[in-house]
Amino acid sequence: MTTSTSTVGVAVAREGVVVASSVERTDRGHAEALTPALASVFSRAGCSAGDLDRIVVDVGPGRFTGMRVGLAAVRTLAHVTGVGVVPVTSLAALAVAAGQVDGLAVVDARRNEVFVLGLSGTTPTDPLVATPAEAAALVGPGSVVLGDGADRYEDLFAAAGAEVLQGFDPDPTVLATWLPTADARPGVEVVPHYVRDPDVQINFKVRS
Amino acid sequence: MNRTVLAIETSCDETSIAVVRDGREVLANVVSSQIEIHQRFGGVVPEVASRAHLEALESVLTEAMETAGVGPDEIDVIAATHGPGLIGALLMGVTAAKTLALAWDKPYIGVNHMEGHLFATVLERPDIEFPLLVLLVSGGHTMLVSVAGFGRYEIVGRTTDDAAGEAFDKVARYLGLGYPGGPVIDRLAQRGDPTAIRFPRGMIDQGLDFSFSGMKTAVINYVRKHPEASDEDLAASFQEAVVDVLVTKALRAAKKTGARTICLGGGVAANSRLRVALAEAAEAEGFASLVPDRAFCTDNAAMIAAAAHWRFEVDGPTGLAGGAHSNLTLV
Repeated sequence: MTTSTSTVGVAVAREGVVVASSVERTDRGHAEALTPALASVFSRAGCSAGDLDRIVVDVGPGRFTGMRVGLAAVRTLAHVTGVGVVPVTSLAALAVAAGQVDGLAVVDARRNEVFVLGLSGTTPTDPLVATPAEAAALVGPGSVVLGDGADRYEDLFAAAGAEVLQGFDPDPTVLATWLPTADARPGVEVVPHYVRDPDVQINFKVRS
Repeated sequence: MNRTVLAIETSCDETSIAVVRDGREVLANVVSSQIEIHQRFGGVVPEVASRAHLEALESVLTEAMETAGVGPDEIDVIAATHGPGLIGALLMGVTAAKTLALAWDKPYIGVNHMEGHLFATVLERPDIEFPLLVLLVSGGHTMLVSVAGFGRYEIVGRTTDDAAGEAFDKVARYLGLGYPGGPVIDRLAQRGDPTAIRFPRGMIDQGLDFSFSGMKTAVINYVRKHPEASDEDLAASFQEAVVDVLVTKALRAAKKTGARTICLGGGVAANSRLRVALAEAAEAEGFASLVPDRAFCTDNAAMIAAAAHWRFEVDGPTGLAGGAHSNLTLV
């Protein structure tokens, strides 16, 4: 499941093969879209929540409300079924979809900032917050950038010589077929990857 | 018909889940407050509230189910407050409720928070006779509602500026008494003289609408001129002025609407002076009064379950595509 960007995506895979999926774009309607998408995917896959063996979820970074809606749903499902949850960052999901290339996964953080992660063989290896200009300074000719942050600041990345792959958000089918050996944990331990504090806490720290 | 409702309330800074049978029998009403989290900011911070709701939901759900002693098979309907309130906070309860409905194969219904407050009275007195006049006072709302029957509401008076609870919070903040302001002022007022300072009673002689902004400013101006004034006397005198206005207008509204019973609801209904003053004034004027238990006045999911019980019978399920509506109105 992914809800950290403007994409609300749900997919069910059986033995590593996707059997049903749903991808919908929404600006603010994540909660409205998600539950019907889950119901539809379960129905088409011929399963119910209780049949799941594990849940792989995009925990962000990305939109605070979007990723929280996804996690409220996943944690509720995990709570009532006892199924384990594998948290995957939005950036890692993008990086896997991009394949073995040099470049960056870039998610829009709003307020003239982006969350970035290096693709195969490039830095940074942990998600970080940067200005679009700082992120563009990390790429050059031959690099690939993708994600909604790459779309939004396309001009900057193109000026640095990178190739911008348009229209990529975390893909639920990539998550549904995520490494079967990845560790699952109880839902209650799966938390949003906010990366950035609420503004009030940032201001509070500055004042004190 | 027999119906057991599990309801979730996350519209502001309380994460609450209740299980209520037939709209009146409260099997569980678990409330997890975030007051301590927001205290250092001097008010509820929406992003912080949303984060805290997500973290609290599972443990509150577990406790509610254990307290109620029921399993999923004995729940018939899942409800959640879908407005009005903080949008990010509302979405946590709505999403959890819709997901439970999907996982347990139950119908989901979204409930109006203000209708929940009206139903807090019904929870305590299922046989109550209509029409009622309900004074709803909280940090976000101050209104007089004429209730002709279930679902038949008319707002006959409302605040033109601050909500009463907001005025308590602002005065408490100005006096450096901490947050939330209501309980602090209530506590200090018990040791103060309510007649020490005659604060203005905003719009007390006119109609059924309220104005608390000027009363708050009067306190601030008084303290500037009289820095020696005791917090106890200030609290008691300010509280007396607010209660005087609330009670006067509630009685006026009851007479105008033909209500026989005056009810109190909302977070400010936990105020000790208001509870006593309303009951006394109602009795003196020949009205019955109903002041619900404090646990059902402040935000709680039991009142949402009670409203959901009746709403479900009338409207049926909301459906899994339901969202949250921060500015939802009662009528």
